[in-house]
Amino acid sequence: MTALAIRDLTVVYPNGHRALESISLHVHAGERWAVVGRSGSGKTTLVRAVLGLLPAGSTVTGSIEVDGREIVGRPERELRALRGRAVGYVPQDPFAACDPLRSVGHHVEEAWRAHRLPTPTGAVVGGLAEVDIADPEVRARHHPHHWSGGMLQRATIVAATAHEPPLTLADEPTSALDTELADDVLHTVRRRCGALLLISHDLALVARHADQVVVLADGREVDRGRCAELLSTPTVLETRSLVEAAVPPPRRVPSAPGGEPVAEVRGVSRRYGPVTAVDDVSLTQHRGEIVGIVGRSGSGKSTLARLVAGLERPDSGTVTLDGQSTRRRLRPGYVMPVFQDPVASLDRRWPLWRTLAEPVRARGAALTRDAAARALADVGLDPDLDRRPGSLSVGQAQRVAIARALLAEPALLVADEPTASLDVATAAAITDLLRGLADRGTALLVVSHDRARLAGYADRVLTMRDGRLG
Amino acid sequence: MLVLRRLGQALITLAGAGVLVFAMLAVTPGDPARRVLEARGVGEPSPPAIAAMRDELRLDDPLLARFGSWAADAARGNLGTSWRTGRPVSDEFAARLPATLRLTGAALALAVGTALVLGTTAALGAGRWPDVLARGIALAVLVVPSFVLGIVILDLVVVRAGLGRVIADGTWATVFLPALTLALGSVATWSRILRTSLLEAGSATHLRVSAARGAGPRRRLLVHQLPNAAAPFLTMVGLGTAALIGGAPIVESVFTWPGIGRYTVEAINARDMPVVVGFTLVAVLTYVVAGLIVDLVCAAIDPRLRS
Amino acid sequence: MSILTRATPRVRAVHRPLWRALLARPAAQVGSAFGLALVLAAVLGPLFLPDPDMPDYADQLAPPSAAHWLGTDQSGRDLLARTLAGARTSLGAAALVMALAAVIGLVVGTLAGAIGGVVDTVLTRLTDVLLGLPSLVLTLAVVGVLGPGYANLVLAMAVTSWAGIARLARAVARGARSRPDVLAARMAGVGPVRAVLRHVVPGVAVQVAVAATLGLGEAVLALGGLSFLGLGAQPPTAEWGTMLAAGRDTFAYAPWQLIGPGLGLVLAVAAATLVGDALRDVTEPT
Repeated sequence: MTALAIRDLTVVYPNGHRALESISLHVHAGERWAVVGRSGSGKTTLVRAVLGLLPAGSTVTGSIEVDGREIVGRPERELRALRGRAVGYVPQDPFAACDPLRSVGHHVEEAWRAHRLPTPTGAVVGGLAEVDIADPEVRARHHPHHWSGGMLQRATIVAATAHEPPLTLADEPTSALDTELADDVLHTVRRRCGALLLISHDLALVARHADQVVVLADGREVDRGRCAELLSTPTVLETRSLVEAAVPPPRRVPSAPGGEPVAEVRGVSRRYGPVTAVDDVSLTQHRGEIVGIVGRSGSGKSTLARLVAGLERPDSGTVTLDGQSTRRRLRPGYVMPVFQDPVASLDRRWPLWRTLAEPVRARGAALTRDAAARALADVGLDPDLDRRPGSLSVGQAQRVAIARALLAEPALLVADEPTASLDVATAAAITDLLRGLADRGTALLVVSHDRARLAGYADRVLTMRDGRLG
Repeated sequence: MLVLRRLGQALITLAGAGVLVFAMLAVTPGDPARRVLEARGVGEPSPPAIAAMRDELRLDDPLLARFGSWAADAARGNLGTSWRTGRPVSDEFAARLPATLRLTGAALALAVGTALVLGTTAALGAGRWPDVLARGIALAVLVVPSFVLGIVILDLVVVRAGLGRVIADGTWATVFLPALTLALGSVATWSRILRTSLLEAGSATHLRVSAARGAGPRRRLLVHQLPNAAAPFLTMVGLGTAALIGGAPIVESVFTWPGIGRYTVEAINARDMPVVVGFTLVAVLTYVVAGLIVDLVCAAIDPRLRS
Repeated sequence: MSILTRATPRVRAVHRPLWRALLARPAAQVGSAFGLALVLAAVLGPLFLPDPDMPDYADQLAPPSAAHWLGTDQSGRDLLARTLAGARTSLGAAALVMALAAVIGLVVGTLAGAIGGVVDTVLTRLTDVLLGLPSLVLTLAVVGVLGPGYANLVLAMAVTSWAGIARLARAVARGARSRPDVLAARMAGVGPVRAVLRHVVPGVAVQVAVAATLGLGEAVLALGGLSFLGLGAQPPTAEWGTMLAAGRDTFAYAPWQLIGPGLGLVLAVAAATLVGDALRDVTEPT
C-alpha cells in the first residue's frame, strides 16, 4: 500500500518563483524516506504541497496521492478532513508550534477537536505516557513554556500521530533542539509513525534514521538512493558537497606549545546572587595557541570568557594579562572580542571604514584607506569600504568583526560562539581564518557548545561543567 | 502572587499621586481660610474668625501632620472643603459623579465596540479595500478634535435637525452623543493596535500547525488568533481610559453635561484647589483600578504573564 | 589626506538615507505637505493680511467674502489673519512643550540608565508614578496650582509629558554598556562615555524624534482643548482653542467662525500623526 505517491509535481509560487520542478516520489507503508538539500532547495514547499497548505495563488501541476487520495485540486473542506488523519505533521520548533495561551494537553487534544471529534478518554494522558513523559496527568495541564524543548516535541509527535495516519511528515523535527535530544525525538517518531518522510539538513541524523534519501537542489531532484551508500560514497556533486560540509573535521594534532603566556587565570570565581557561574578556575593561555572551552548552556563558559576578556571582575582570584593584573595599565586592544551575533557587533549605521578605523583611532593613530582595504582582504573580503553592515551576510559580518579586532593588534582574541550563527560551509571558512591567525601568533580563547568543530582547529579543548573546568 | 504584587504597585502609585497632589494643594497661593469664610457669606472676616477657620482646616499644623490628616480624610472619602462654595467637596462630587460615570462608561463601551469592528475588518481584509477603508475612517476620526466635532454635532444634529435634546441632563437618555464624541478620540489608536496584534497573531507558527492538524479558519480565528491578540489590545484599552477620563472635562463642557469634569473646569477658573485635587484623586483612582483590572484579565488569558 | 583621517561625518550624512526613505511614503508626503503649508502660511501670513488684533466694529460677524476669506469675528477682526496668528501660537507652543518634555525626559532617563543604583531607583519610581497617572488630569491639576494662562499651560503640559521619553531613554542607556559594538569599542580603548555617545545616542535621538513628532499632535490637541475651556490663552490672544470657544456661542448664526481654527487643528494634528507614523515605520529596528 502506497502511503505517498508524488508524480511529476511542479509548484510555482504567486510571485513566479519555481519552487519545485517535476518531483516524483513513492513512499510505501513502513518505509522511511528523507529529503535533504540546502535552504531554498524546496524541501519546505514539498511539505506544504503534501498538506495542501501552499499560499493562495500558487500553481500546482502533477499529482500527489496520500493513501490513495489525490491532494492536488481537492477542495479545501475535503483537504481539512485529510490533514491530521491521513497525513500527520511534526513541525520544527515545538515552542512556536504550541499556542502559548493553552495547555499542552489542549495542544494534543487539538488533533481531535480540529475535526470536531470527541477526544477518547485517556487518549491524551496515554499518548504522553507512551512517549515517556513522567506524570502525564499533571504535566498535560501545564503550559508550553513550562516544558523543556525535547519533552514538548515529543508531545507534538503524539498530537501529530494521534489518528495513526499512514504517512507522517517530519519537517526538521530536531533543528531547534539540543543535538543530544535529536536521536530520542527521531526514535519516538519512528515508533509512532506508519510511513515517514523526514526533511532535514542534518545528514548524520538522516543516515541514522532513514532508509532512502532524495537530494534536492533548486527545486529539482539531483540524487536519490539508499542512505548507507549515498552518504558514505556520494557521486553527485551536490550530495558530495553536502556530505563534506557535514562531516566533523579530523581532530587537530596539537602543535608544540609555543610562546610566553598571554593570559593567566588563577582561581577565579564569579557569583550572581545564589548562582555560582564560575568556580575556582585556573588556566594559562600561550601565544599562538587556540584554547577551546566546551560546555552546555549554563555551564559558565560565557562568564569565564568575559572574565578573561576583562569585561567583568572576578569575585575572587586573579586574571593576569600581559603581566599586569589590573586593567588600568594594560594597553588598549590587548584583548579583543569576537561575538556570536556578528551583525549586532557592528554599528548598523556606520560604513565599514568607520568601524575598522575605530580601534586605530582609539590608539591615537590614523587608518589609511589602503590599510583598511588590506585589513578586509586579509579576512577574505572585497575591499568595499563604504558598505554598511545591513548589506552583509552573517558570514561576511563576522569576517569584518574579526578584521576590526585585528586592527587593534591584539595579543588575545576571546571568541564566544563565533560560528554558532553560521551555516556549515561558512563556519568552516571562519575556523580556517581563526586557525590562520593563531599560526601567525595571536592567541585565541574560543567558547563553544560544538565540541566536534572545536576539536578540528583548537590546540586544547577543555570542558566546563557547573562552573568548573575539567 | 501576581495579584498581590500588582495591588502593591497600584497602592504605591496612589501614594505617589497623593504626595504630588497634596504638594500642589499646599503651594497654591491665597489664604484658604479667608476664601472659605467669604464663600460662606462672611463679607469681611475678622482676624479671630480667620484664626478659628485656620484651626478648623488645620492650616497651621506642621506639613507632615497636614499630609497625614489629609490622606486619612481622603481615604475615608472626605475630600476637604471647597474654597468657592464653602461646602464639602465630597457633597458636590456625589451629586455629579454618577453623570460622569455614565458618560465615561458609555464612551468606553462605544470605543471598544467601534475599535473591535474597525480593527478586525482591517486585519481580516489586510491589504485590500476593507483595510484601507477602516484605517482611513480611523485616521479621519483621530485628527478631528473631539470638541470641534462636539460643537458641530450639537448644532447640526440637535439644534437644526431636532434629533435628541439640547439640554443634557446627565441621564442615560441623552448620553449617546457626548459619549460618542468622547469615544472617537480613542478609536483610532485602539483599532490600529487591534489590527496589528491580530495580524501578528495571524502569522504565528502555531496557526499553521493547527491548520495542518485539520482545523478550519473559524476555529483558528476564535480559539487561537483572537485570544493571542487580546492581551495587547486590552492593555491599550486600560491605558486609554486615561484619555477618556482626561477628555471628560472638555466633552462635558461642550455638551453642558452635569458631571464632575465640567465642575472641575469651573473650579480651576475660580482657583478652587480642593475641588481640583479631589477630581485628580478620583480620576487617578479610577485609572489605577482600570489598569489593575486589565492586568489581571490579561494574566488570566495569558499564562506567561503569571510567573 | 585620507578621508579616514577626517573628523567624524556630521549626523546629516548618516541620516540622509532616512529622510529619503521617509519621504518616499505617501502618508509622509501628505503629512509633510500639510505641515509645510501650515508653517509657511503662519510665517508669511502677516505680510499679506490685516492685523489679527485690530477690531473693526463696522464689520462684525461678517460671512466669508472677497475682502475677508474666512469672514470676521465678533469684534470685526479678520478670521484668516487670526487663524494664522493662532497657528503661530499653537504650533509654537506645542513645539515648545515637546522640546521641554524631550529635554527633561532625556536627562532623567539617561542619568537613571547610565548611573544606576540609588539614582536609578529614585528616578524610575518617579517616572513610573507619573506614567501611572492620566496626563490630562495632571495637567489640569498643575494649571489649577499656577492659574490659567498660556505660559502656565505650556509649563504644565511639559511637566506631565516627559515620563514616556524618560522611560525610553533609560532603557537605551541601560543596554548601552553591554551592547556588543560598544564593548568592542571599549576593549579597543575608546573611553566608556565616548563609546556610548558615538554608538548609542544617534539611535536614541531618532526614537525620541518619533515620540516627539507623535506627541506634537497630541500637544496641539490638548493645548487647543484646554484653551477652549478657558484655561490657557486668554482673550484677545489669537489661539485656536479660544477662537473655537468664541465661535461656539455664535454657531447658530455665524458658523464660519469655526472653519479657520477647526481646519487648522485638523491639519496640524494630521500632519504630526502622518509624519510621526511614517517615521516610526521607517525607523522600526528590522
